[in-house]
Amino acid sequence: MLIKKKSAITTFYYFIAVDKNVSDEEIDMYESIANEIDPDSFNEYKDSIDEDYQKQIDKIIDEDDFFDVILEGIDQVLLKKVKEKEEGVSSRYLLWNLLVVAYSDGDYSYEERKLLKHIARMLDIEKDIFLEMEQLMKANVAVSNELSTIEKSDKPYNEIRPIVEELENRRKVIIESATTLIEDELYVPVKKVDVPKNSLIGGTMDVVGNVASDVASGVVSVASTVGDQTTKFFGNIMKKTGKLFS
Amino acid sequence: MPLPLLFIGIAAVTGATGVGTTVMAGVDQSNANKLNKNSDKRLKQAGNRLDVLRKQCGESLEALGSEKIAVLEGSLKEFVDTFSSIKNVDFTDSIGLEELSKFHIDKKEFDEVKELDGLVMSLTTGAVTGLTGGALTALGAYGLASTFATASTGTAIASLSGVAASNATLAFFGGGSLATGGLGMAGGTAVLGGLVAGPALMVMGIITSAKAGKSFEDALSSAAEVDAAIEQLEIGNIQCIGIRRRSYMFYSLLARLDSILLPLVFEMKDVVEKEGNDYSTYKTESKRIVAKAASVAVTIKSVIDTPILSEDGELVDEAEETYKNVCKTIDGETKALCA
Repeated sequence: MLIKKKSAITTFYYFIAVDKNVSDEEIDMYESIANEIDPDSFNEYKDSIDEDYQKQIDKIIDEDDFFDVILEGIDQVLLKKVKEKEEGVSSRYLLWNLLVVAYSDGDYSYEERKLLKHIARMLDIEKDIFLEMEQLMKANVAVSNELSTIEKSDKPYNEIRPIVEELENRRKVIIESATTLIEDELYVPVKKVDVPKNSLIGGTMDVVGNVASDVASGVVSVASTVGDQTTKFFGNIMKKTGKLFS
Repeated sequence: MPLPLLFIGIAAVTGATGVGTTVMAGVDQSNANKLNKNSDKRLKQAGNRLDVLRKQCGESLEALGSEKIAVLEGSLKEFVDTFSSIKNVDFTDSIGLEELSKFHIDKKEFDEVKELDGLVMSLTTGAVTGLTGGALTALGAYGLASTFATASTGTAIASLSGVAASNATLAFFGGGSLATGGLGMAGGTAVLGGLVAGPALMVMGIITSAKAGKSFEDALSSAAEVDAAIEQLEIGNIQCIGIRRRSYMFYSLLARLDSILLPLVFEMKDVVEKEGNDYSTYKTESKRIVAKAASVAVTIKSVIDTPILSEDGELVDEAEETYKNVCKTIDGETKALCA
């Protein structure tokens, strides 16, 4: 499923607010992802996202409405359809990057997970895909932790170098795995032949002449940055927080 | 008089039919060409997709095989070396160590871990050095014991045993481009559990526009054959995606387990250095570290030895069960294992 770029960015905005604890890392992450998704237009509507968020939050009646109001805000933006020939963001790409944001502050909270599951259901992402991406992210975090611990240890570099190289390779493989999962969604199956019964009309053969292309234009460039983003974000987080979490 | 009008009318209809017939013949030829070209294009499109996916499959299995070796040579070997040096290990003594009931390693399981270590040593030194390509793919797909032949001495020898040595599906993952006939062992054979038959793969080399007849009916017939081949290729795509995902799932699982074991092994070494090698004299916390490490080591061994594929290239159901159970253990007991 394709999502409007502004809707995807707005979803991130709501997501970082859901546990009521917005860290500097999350804000940096939000800005980076938004500029990655829509470098041409993000700055034009950046303020309107904040304004719309405030209007939504103003609907809170009691304190315990907060999560529901966030949910309603996300539902509204995700329901907006991508127009024909409009570039969009794939749902799996959105999910992966939301997981990156969720783990960015070292705390994958109950509210964040609940919201992610809701978003997965809204976007018709299969249950096993969601669970698989979650496990991939946990593995990514575990390996990054391990790398950080090894590098900080007082063991001689000659001794740890093979371990460091292996762990860096593991991160690459895990990210490659996530990338292929995202790309699977973008593939459009080859169509069967569809020849109209009346073959007298020459113009109808143009219908047969169109072969479905592998990937919708404009979306593949977004998916190809998955690896760079995840590595960059985790590299920064490990330096800033040094936290151990699994 | 009305008759002359009638005569003119009939003459006009006849003339129109004649023009229609001529147009039909011309359009039929042109449409046949277009249809044949379209069939070619669609078939190549489907074949390219399968090519991409089978390469991804091969890469994922090879990555898993490579990771298995790295874990065996790394943390698992360190664990076995250190654990072997500790005497009087008794995990039945659980006073003050209630969580030890979750960690069970008996002598048989420990012997299996030691055997695995011995196998790795012989694989990576001596006769079998620099494992690459097909061997790693086979290792990713099957357990260690199923992959490598052993001499009567128990030492692994430089040859793939049984199913790994002659497996068409593994050859399918490692072969050259399908379009250029890179089927290798898979040529003409059913692969991926029989889901993709040889003929469907062989059509990759067929140029329908050259082979197909010039009539529109012939072109339609070829198009229908291509549709059937594409359907089979798409089934192959689904199977490849399933295998790739399973391989990466096990890859990430092994990565998580190793990230738990390695720090525990370092702690075990510290324990031995500070408290000696008599388990019975260890502090409670030290016993806990040794027990945790042993439990994770046994779990890693079972993951490494879990085959992902059956002999005929189908996904094995038991592998999914193993994956889910181990994930549950890590997710549910991470605090117990890592606290």
